Amino acid sequence: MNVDVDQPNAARMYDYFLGGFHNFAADRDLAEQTIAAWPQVPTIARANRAFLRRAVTYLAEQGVDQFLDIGSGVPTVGNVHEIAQSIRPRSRVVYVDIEPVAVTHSRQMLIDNPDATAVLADLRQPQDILGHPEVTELLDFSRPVGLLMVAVLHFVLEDEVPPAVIRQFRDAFDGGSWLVLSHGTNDFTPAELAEQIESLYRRSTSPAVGRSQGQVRTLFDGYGVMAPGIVLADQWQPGAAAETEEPERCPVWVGVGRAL
Amino acid sequence: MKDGEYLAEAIGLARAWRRALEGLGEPLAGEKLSDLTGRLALAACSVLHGQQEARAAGVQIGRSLAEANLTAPCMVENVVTVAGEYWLVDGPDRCSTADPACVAALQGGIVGGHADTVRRLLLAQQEAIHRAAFEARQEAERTAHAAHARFEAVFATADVGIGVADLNGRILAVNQALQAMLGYSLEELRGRPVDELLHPDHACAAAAEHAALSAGRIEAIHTRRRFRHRDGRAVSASLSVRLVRDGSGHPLHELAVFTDLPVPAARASPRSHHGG
Repeated sequence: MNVDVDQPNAARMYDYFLGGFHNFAADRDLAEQTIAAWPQVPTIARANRAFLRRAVTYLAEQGVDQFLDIGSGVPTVGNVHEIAQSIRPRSRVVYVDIEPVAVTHSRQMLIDNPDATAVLADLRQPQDILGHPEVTELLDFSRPVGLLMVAVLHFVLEDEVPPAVIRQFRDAFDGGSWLVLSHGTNDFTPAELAEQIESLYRRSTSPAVGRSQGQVRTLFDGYGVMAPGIVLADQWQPGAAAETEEPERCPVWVGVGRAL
Repeated sequence: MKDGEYLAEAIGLARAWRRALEGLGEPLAGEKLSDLTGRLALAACSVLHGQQEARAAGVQIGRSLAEANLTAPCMVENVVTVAGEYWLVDGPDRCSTADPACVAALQGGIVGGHADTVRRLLLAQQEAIHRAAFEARQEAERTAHAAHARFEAVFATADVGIGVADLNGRILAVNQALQAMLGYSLEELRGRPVDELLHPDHACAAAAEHAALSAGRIEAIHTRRRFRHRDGRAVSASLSVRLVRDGSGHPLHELAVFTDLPVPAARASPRSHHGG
């Protein structure tokens, strides 16, 4: 376990993009460099966050009251437990992250919430998460579970790992499950800019990689994908009020699926 | 002002605010940007008759923006500019029903309420993240300490000989079993070059292997070597030497494990073995 606040961290950079102050000088510095290269990054982060809110609301409306949020990062306003518990007050939520400061912080925030907790684990080791005592205590795998993998799998560089990880979770959830996923893509980004962003993130503790719509679709193998399918973040059930004139400005593929 | 007028006014302002903010992104709290701007515009338009009320409503609006994580200066700048344009600047979209003094009070309130809330959030969140970092570091230290204690226990009680040397081959630590094999105490061994303890027959081969190991060309040495006991006799043992690396893969020191140690003289005697 490595606690180094001098090393920029993607979760805290994300918090900075969202207008939060849960970040350190090194995070802000690299975040500002990223914004300089790609000014719409904060908008993308917010679009991703707004998708998370709509998707969790949707799942809660479908009756889901258990959530496993992998790569939850720094807790901020509009958290999964706030959204879910506003609809189903006894919803249970377990946050999982690999970054010890984010997890410690989440646990401090959730100290008075008996239905939500955060654990330190690596998503590449699903058995560690599935067998974690706090996970098994809070979540009942014989009932439906909402698995949230929002803006996290692009930090797993090896192409073969994300499908294998998702499969392990799906197999463990006997009572059915849902998958909420968002993933950064370079499908609309000029190659030069994509390379520049990836090289900036290589300087953080969490290098990232973009994946295509086709690659993201294969992550839903074994799931029935809900309407409107694998789309850009702004296009997923935006509701009556929102206008999605240029969805490409937020190049994040998203989808919600129900395990078959 | 009649209710109908004020509602129409609020709808116009809400639209102008939404246009000004939507390029900057969605709020994070439980409502959509359109709901937030609608709510705030209604609050603004209902109070433009008295300056005190206008200022108080402005403070509330500024606070709501910041609490929705719309903390960036450009957010409040847009909101205040758009409000001014809406009521005070001549043009086709101007809504001229408001008292300019009330508009000014509302704008002042928005800026003050936003700045106050941003400052409060900033201090609280910085404190929270620093405290989390501190506790995470303490936890990491506790974990490292526990791992160290486990290692120490193994080190102290193992029947195999264990020695740790720096990358230049100087001894840092030697456990009891290895001290017994060589006949020296830890104090006598610490800081000495490992080479000095090797039997002269083996010094040359060992030096070549050691160079390959410390340069990272080989991961481990498995061999059988003769050493010189304090009393001058040769003792031989099988040993494996490995590099211990830190989290990022840089070599930290060398760890040698000696198995197949010569049975110490005292324990070799059946009499002492059976307690005399």
